[in-house]
Parts: sequence; C-alpha cells; structure tokens
Amino acid sequence: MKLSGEFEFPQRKQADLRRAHRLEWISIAYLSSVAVLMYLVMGSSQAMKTAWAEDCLSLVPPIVFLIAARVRKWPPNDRHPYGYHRAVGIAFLCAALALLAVGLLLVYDAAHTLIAREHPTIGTVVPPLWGRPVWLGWLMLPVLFYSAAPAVILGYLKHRPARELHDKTLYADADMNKADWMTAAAAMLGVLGIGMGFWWADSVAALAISTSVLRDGFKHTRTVIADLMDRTPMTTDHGAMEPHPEMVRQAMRRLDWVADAKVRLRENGHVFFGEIYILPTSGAADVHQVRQARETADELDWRLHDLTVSIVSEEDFNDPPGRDGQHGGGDKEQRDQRH
Amino acid sequence: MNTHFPATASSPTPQAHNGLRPVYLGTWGAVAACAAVLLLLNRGCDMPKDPQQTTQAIRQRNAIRVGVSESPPWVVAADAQPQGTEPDLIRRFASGLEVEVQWHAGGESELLGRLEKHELDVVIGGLTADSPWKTRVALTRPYLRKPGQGKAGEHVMAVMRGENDFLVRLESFLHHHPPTPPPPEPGS
Repeated sequence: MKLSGEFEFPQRKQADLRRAHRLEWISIAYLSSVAVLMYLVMGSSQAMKTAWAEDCLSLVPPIVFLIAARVRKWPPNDRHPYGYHRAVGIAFLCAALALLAVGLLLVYDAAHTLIAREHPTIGTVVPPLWGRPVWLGWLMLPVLFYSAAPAVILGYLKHRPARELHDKTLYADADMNKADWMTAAAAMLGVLGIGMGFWWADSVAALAISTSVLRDGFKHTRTVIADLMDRTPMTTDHGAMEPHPEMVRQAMRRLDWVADAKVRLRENGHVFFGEIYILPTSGAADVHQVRQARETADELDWRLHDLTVSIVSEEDFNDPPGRDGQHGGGDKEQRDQRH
Repeated sequence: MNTHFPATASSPTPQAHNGLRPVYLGTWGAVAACAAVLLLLNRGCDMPKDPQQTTQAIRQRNAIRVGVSESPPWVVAADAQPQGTEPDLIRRFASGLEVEVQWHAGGESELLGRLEKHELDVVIGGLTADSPWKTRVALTRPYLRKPGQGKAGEHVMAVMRGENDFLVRLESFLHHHPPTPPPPEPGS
C-alpha cells in the first residue's frame, strides 16, 4: 500500500508551534487554579455556578489540542495510510460538542432558576487568615477578575500561533479565552445585583453566560462538521475560502505540457490533501512530467501535503468521475455555472 | 522556476464573530463593565441588601419575629419566654439591633413553612446543618460545632432565602458572640 508521506511543520513555523504548546500548558495550569478558586467561592449563586462550569469547559480545548498534537505525528501505516491528521479535527469536534452539551444544560438550569423565582442566598464566610466574617460576594469579585484578566491575555497571545499554524482548535480556544471577560463581567453584575437586593440579577446573568456558551458550541460544532465532511478549505476564521485550489490550478496551467487543470482540496487537520486533474496538450504525459507537476504544486505552500496528480483524457476532464455510462455532463463552464 | 505564492494570510473583512470583533468590544466593553462595577460598588457600600426588606421591616416594626420550636437544651419551654442557648442568643441579637422579640411557638415544620412565606424572620429550635429544609430556607453558618458528628453536629438558625443583609448581620453576630456558657449535654 502506498502510504501518505509524513508531515513536519516547516522550520519557520516551529517557533509558533512551540509557543502554542507552551501557551496551552500554561492555560491548563491557570484554568485548573481558576476552577478550584471558583468552586470555593461560588456559594449558591447561579451566575457563579455557570461561570465555573464555563471555566471548567475551557480546559477541554487545551487538553485536546495537546493530545491531537501527539496523535497527528504518528506516521501513516497500513491501517491508517492517510496518517492521523484528522486527530486535529476530532479534537476540535470534542471541544465544540462539550460546549454545546454543557451550554444546553446551563441554559436549562438558569432558566429554571429564574422561572422558579429562587432567591439566591449568599451569606458570610470566615477566610482562613482573616478571622472575621465577610460577605461571600466580596470574595467572588476578585476571583472573577482573576478568572478573566489572565484568560484575555492568554487569548490574545494564542491568536498569532493559531493563525500562523492554521489551527482551528487553537483559534477557537483563543476566541473563548478572549470572551472570558464577558462572562466575568456578567457574573460580577449578577453578584452585585444580588447585593443590591435584585435576586433576579443572578439568574439573568447566568442565562446570559449560558446562552453565549451554547451559541459558541453551536457555531463551532457546525464548522467542524462541515470540515470533517471534506469541505473545501476555509480560512481559520471561516471568513472565506482559501485560495489554494486556484493557486495550484494556475501553477499547473503554467507548465508547458499542460493544457488545463482542475483541482480539488480538502482539509485534513493542518494540511491539505487533494487531487489535480491535468489535461495534457499532447494527450499523454510521462512519469517525469507527473512528478514535476506534483512537486511544483507541493512547493506552493507548506500546507499542501498530499496531492495526487491524474492525467486524464478530454472526456474525463469534462465529466465528473464515477458517473457510469453517462456522458453529456456539459463542458467545464456549464458545470461551473451549476455550482 | 518555482513560483512561490506567499503562504496564505488572507483574512478578509471579518465577519460576525471572529478574532476582530472581541477586540473592539474588548476595549470599550471592558471599560464600560469596569465603570458599571465601580458605580455599583460605590453605591452599594452597604451591601448586601434584602430583596424583601427584612431588616428594614424589623426596624419599622421594632420587633423581630422569631419562631421557636422546643428542642432542649437549645430551646426549652417554648412559650411566652423561652429559655435555652438559642433564645438567649436571639435576645442579645435583638438588643444589638435595638428591637424587641416576638416569640412564635410551634412545631419545626410549621414554623419553617411560615418562614418560607416570610411570616417570620428567623426560626430556632436546635436545627442542624443537615436539615432537609436547607433547600427551602437559608441556614446560617454554624454557631457551634460538636466534633465527631459531621453536619448533624453543626448547629444553625434558619432565615428566609435570599435575605442576605439580615443573614449577614445574624451570622456576624453569631460569630462574635459564641454561646456562653457551653450548653449542657442533651437529654438532661
């Protein structure tokens, strides 16, 4: 069996890769500390409970990122001839589904508390070194600040490696971190609302936070499902399609023995796999030309990893493969208009 | 020969929810949120407050409505003038607030039900932290812990859920005025 080649990030990306790893380890340590502190001070405030759940959830993207980073390095073998790049997509799916599931639970919980008109009770605690009772709300505020400020900083730091490595998990993680300030602000307003005597402020804040978690989960799940269905590559922020298919096509057409070319690509983790269909000018091509085509395409971008070059006849060039016994699919322009 | 296209960094005009919008919201939103927080903190220096104005009502009424349920030695002879550890604590608490005490005797369940409906301000009766009522009323932090019994050894009082101002006052009082002398063993 012909196995897909092994993949290494190019030299100039190694620094970003190391930084991404470092930031994710720091994130895990920091978020664990946040989870512990929040648990200690959350009391019976719904908003605090929701914020705590979201902080625990924020641990999922860094963990799956680091696991995927290991798995995707495993060399292709007979059972997995395409390699393990998809581990990255799976990691993203885990993170997205976690957000979705927990978001649903939290929305339900917050709505239930609000509808049942439960008044949150927040009393006093005696902190270990303080010796005097203090209202728990006063402890919640600095902990909420601690749960937000470093997260926002981490989010901004992660943004660059995510873009450079085209890593969607890291990008989604950075997004979630940066949005943490909104969670903390909502929870703070909820706590202060309780302090002012507005019992509903707590549930409303919880509802706001949980809705944003749910929305994030929904958005990311939709994205990763499309990606896993071999959608044509999109930019990291999903604003637009990547230009690679067209880039490769133009590069192929510039070769003197090529009359025309068609390209399709799919994302497989960080890298692109795909097929190039070449219509040669003279009706045939030898292995050296095929190799030249493949190498030309590979060198265009570090993400183009496993491209298969197919030399095809004019008939096959115009018809999609696999339509048994059917011709008359029209020429390329007609087919393009149909899309 | 190698026409090298730059590695794509085509981030086109950002759409609804990507890296750029949180930047925008982040700066101004953070400022606005900080301002809101500081404003509330400034106004609410007497936080927390009671959603149902329990403390205010007590002052207006000049009396605190206390439900007492017989439970020696914590509450003894629950009638016009209850005795025991907890009634003594309540009397001192009330004098600290400069109000009188209205005693309402009854069974524990009945009194806690009335507390839930805000017909009482506090209920005493040898309640412990493992009371099944803790989801329907608010239990104070324990004012006394008997070692070795876990939650069943933590003695508390009950106030209405959500009345945080009153709860904080009561808990602070209980913290600074532990019961003296120590109560005799139960069953005497």
